[in-house]
Amino acid sequence: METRLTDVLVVGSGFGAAPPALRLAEAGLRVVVLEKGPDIDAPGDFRQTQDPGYFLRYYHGSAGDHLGMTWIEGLGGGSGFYEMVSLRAPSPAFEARDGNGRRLWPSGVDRATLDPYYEIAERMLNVQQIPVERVPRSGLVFSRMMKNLGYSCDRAAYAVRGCRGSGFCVSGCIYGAKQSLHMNYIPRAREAGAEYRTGVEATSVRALGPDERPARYEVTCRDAGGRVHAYRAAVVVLAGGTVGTARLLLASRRGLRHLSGEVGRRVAFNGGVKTAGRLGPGWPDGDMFTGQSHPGMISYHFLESHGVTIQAAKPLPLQAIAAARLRFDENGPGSRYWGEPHLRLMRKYRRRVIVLFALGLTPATARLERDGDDLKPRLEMTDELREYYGRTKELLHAIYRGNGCRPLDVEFVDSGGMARDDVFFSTTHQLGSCPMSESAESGVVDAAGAVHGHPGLYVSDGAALPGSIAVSTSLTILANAERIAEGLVRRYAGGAASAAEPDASSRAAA
Amino acid sequence: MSAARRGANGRGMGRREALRLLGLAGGAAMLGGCTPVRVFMGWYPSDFRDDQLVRRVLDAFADTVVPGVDAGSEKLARPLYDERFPLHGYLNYLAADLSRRAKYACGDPRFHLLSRADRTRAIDAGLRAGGTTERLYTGAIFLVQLGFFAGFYDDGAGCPAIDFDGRYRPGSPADRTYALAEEFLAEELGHGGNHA
Repeated sequence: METRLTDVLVVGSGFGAAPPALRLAEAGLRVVVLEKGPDIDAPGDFRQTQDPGYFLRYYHGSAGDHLGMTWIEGLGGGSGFYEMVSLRAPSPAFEARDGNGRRLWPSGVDRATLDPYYEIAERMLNVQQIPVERVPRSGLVFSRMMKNLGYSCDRAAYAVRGCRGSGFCVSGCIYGAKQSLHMNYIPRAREAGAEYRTGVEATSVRALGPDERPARYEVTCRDAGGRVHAYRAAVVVLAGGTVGTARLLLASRRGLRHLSGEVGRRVAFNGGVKTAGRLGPGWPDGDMFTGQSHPGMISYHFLESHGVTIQAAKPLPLQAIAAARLRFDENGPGSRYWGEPHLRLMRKYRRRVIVLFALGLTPATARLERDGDDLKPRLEMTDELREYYGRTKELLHAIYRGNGCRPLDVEFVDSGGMARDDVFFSTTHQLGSCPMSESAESGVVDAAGAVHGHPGLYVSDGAALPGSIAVSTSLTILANAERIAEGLVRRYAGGAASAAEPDASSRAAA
Repeated sequence: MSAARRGANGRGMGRREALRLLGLAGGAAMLGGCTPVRVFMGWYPSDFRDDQLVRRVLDAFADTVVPGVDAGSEKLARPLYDERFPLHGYLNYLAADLSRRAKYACGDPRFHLLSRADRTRAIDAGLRAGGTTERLYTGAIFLVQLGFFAGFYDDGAGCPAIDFDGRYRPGSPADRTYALAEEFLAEELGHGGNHA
C-alpha cells in the first residue's frame, strides 16, 4: 500500500476543515486535505436548477424514524449550498445542561470566548447584516406579522458580496456572490501550499507507535477508483461532519484504543419545526422565487421564553414538494394533496403562501447507530420532545392566526413521497456525535478539539459542538474551528508556548 | 421479457433487488406483509405488455395528478419513464393496476378513456390499497408533481402554471422587495443580526 507523509492531514473540506487547513499551511506546515466528495470549481460548476440528479451529486442524507439529516459531500462542504446565513450562537445556547445537570459546553467555551473568532470568520466571509432595501418580500411580510403582534424581528447577517437576488442559493451561487469557502479559505490555503485532494475517502485511523515518530497516525484512504493508500501525519484533524467524523472514528476503534465510548452519541439537531400558512386578505404578496433564498429576517423574541428562534423560508418547488404535502385546511383532512385542489394551492404558492419555521435549543439526545454500512440517526421521541414540537408548532400557528392568515395542513414526507406518521425532525444543522467535554466519560474531545487519549488527533467540525444553538450552525462551526486552529498553530508551528500537558491516558498511549 | 421484469439493470430481478429499488432511498420498512409478489414477477394481463397502451394509461394518470395544464400529458408523465428513478421498472404493473381499479370503481377498465373524476376515484382506490401498491401510486404522484412544478427537465422553462421562471431572469431590485421597506420592520432585539 502506497503511504505518503505529511505534517498535517485534514479530513473533510467544509467549515470545520477550512481554518486548520489555512492557518497551519500559512504557518509553514505541509498540509493535505482529503475530501470524499467531488471537486467543485466554483462558481462555474454550480447550476440554477431543480434537477434532482444535480442535487444528488452533492446532497446526502440519512433518516431514522424521528430524525433525518442532510449534508453535503463535495469540495467546500456545505458552504457551496447553504443559504449564506451567518449568525453567532446566542448566549443561552452555551448554558445547556445534560440530564445530570452538567453543562454541555466545556468550561472556557462560551459566546464570549468565541466572539473574537466569530469576528475572524465574519471578516473572512464578508458577513454583513442585510440592508433594509435588500430584504426580500417574504421577509418583509414576516417582519410585519411579528410587528403587528408586538414581537421583535431582526435583519439577519449573510456571507455575501454583490448578491443578485436570484433565489438559487441552495443550488450554488453561479455569480460568485455567496462567500462559500471556494472564495476565501480554500484558495488562500492552496496559495499557502495546502494540497486538496477530492474523491478520496478516509476509511480508518490508527495510532502509530513511538518508533514511527514524528508521524503519530496513519489514515487509510480509498480514492474514487477504489485504490487504497495511506497518509502518515503528526497531526490529523477530522472535519467530516457529524456523520462523517463519527463514521470514521467508529471504524477506527481497533487503531485508537483509548477512543471514548461516546462517539456517535450526544447528537444535537436544532429542533426545527416547519409550518406553512396562507396570507389573508389585505396582506401584500410574499415571493418564494425572487430575492435571496433566505428571506432576510430572524426573530429572537421567543428565545428566552420558548428556547426558539423564528424565521421565514422560501423553498423552491423541488424543495417544497420533496419535503411536504400541502393542503388548504378548508378542504379538510381528507382532501387530496394532488389533483385539482393541490394545483389550486400551487398556483398561489409563489405569492400567497408563507413558510415559517423555528429552530430550538433541543437537547442533544440523538445518536448515530450502524445500519449496515450506514449510520442512521436514532432519536427517542420523549414526551418532552413531543411537547416541544406541539408547543412550537402552535406558537407558529398563532402568528398566522393573529395576523388574519390561515395555517395550511402540512404533512411531511419521506424520500419516496410517503407521509410520515409521527413527529419528525429534519435538519441540516446536526451537531455533536464527537462532542467537546471535560472528560472521555462525557464526550470525545477536549476544549481544544483534541481527542481524549490520542494526542495529535483532533476534531474541528460540527461533530465537536455539544449542543443545539437555535440558529444556523455554519458560522459557529467556522469560529470554533478558528479557535482550534489557533491552538494547533501555537502548539505545532513554533508559536508562543501554551500547549497543555497531555493527560494521563495520552501519556500512556505515547 | 418486459421492462418491468427485466428491471432497471436489464437482468431478471430477484425479490431482494426489487425491494431495494422500490425503496428509492433504500427504506425497506415501507413494505409490510402484504407485498404482492406479482409486482416483482411482472404478472399482469398481457394487454399491458403493449407499451403504447401503457403510455396512454400513464399519460391519463399524469393528467389526473396535475389536471388540465398546458404541459402536454406526455410531458407530465416523463418522470415516470426516467431511468434515474426506480418506478420506470414497474410501469406495466402500475398501468394494469389502474385498469383493474377503474373496472372495480367505475365498471370500465379503460382508465385512459374515463372522465377525470372517474380516474380520480380509481387512483384513490390504489392509494387505499396499502402496502407496495400504495407506495407505487404515491411514488408516481410524487414524481409527476416534482417533474411538473419544479420543471426539472428544462432549467430555463420553470413552471409557468405557478409563475416559476426556472433559471433566474434578472429584474430590477424593486421586483424583490417593497418601497418603504422600513415600514414593515419590527423592533430589532439583537446587534448586527446577532443575539447577545
